[in-house]
Amino acid sequence: MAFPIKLNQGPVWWVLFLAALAPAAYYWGLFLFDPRALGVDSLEVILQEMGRWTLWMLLITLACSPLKRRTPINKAVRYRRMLGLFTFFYASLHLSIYLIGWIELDLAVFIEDLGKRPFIYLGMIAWTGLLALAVTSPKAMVRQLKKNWKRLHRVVYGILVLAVIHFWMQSRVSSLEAWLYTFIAIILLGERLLAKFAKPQRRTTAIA
Amino acid sequence: QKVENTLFRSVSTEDGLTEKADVTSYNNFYEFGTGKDDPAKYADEFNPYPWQIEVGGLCDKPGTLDLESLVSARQTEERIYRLRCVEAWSMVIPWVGIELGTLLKQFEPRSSAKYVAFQTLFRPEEMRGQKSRFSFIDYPYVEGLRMDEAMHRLSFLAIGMYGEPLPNQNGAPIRLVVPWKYGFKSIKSIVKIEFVEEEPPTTWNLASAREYGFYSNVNPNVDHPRWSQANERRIGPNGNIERIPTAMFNGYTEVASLYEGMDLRKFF
Repeated sequence: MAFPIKLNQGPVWWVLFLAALAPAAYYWGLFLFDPRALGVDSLEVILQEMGRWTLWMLLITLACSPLKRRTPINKAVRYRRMLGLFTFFYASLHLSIYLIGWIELDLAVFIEDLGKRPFIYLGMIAWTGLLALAVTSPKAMVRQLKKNWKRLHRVVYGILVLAVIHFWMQSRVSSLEAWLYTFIAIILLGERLLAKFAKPQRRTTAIA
Repeated sequence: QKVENTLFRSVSTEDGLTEKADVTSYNNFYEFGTGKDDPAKYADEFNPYPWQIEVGGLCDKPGTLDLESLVSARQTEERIYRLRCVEAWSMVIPWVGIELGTLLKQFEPRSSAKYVAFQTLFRPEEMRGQKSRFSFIDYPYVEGLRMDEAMHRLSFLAIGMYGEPLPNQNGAPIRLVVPWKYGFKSIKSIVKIEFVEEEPPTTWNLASAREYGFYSNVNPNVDHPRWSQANERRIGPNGNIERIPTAMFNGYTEVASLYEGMDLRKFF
């Protein structure tokens, strides 16, 4: 249901689809068949990489409508749904590795983490949000929810904020990458505020 | 440069040794970068020889030690220690070196000396991590021990591992190894040792006092604010990684008497 793939998509769709799938294929291929290539602790690497790609997919997804508004790449929004679903895909891989690999399905540890560690519960909230967006992504759901669909999908901005905080909180070494994501997130959110307040007459079309 | 000729296993453990290749390619040494593969990648930019350590502060015989004489004057020992990183992974490593206490005694610390402060080399031209503007920590790296901790027979100065001189990425040419404390207490590439009266500043405590205490004893009951310390990922023989429970004082319970009457939640 969450992946209503039609095989008669155009070439651009397929190129983007395969490009978005490539990091998962690369890391999982190595993880399963040549884990040493990922380093001494391959589980740690794949956990971090799936998290990192979740964030990148989210940023790319949220870049679609600014691209449409401000650049000639105005077709980007056509692929936004697929990119959004890939965000959920990477987030789910990230979460599964944490649950199955990292804490080995130890329920006591999970409950303790959820209760005590902000970066775990903020991450869980963000994933739950993505789940809600993925479930309501089919066109039939868009039609059914009507105005509420748009309202619901604004949750994505909250998810972005949570995801960036989640990244900051697990950084124990350096802030360079965290600053990069923060910077991109501010641009993406700031652009929307600009679009909303600079042209109030076009409000309904400008916010997406 | 200097390879030991005499050594013996004076302290050991039942646990299987971590592969040397893993110990040399997966570790934290922010002087060379913040990734765990950075030290192995960039440590060859660093030339540790010749090397001297300045010893001073509250002692009757301050002086400068050079590495050659330090090693040739003494019987070196091999000790197999578990190393528990604060990030919740661990290894088992055969170190070569000398007991810290016996070395410190030769400088005749005064009774007013309550702590020992250590400092890592600061040489940004050979240690690229020291140039980073996004680092969470300041350089030079500093660490410290209470006098009785430093004098404990388990506190060790390593000049080698796996029967060979220390690789640059593991703290060449000389580093501390305190097996009952989190790894970051075991300061690498030491250039200065000072006897002091007050608790000395320590790098990670300066970076985040809430997360890293002065003592930083391995303790499964006191969590890091962001993750649990109850378990660890043991990087064991053949590169196998197993999730195991963490032991109090990393299993070195003989040090417990050093902390009698102290609230280890408060002095974490």
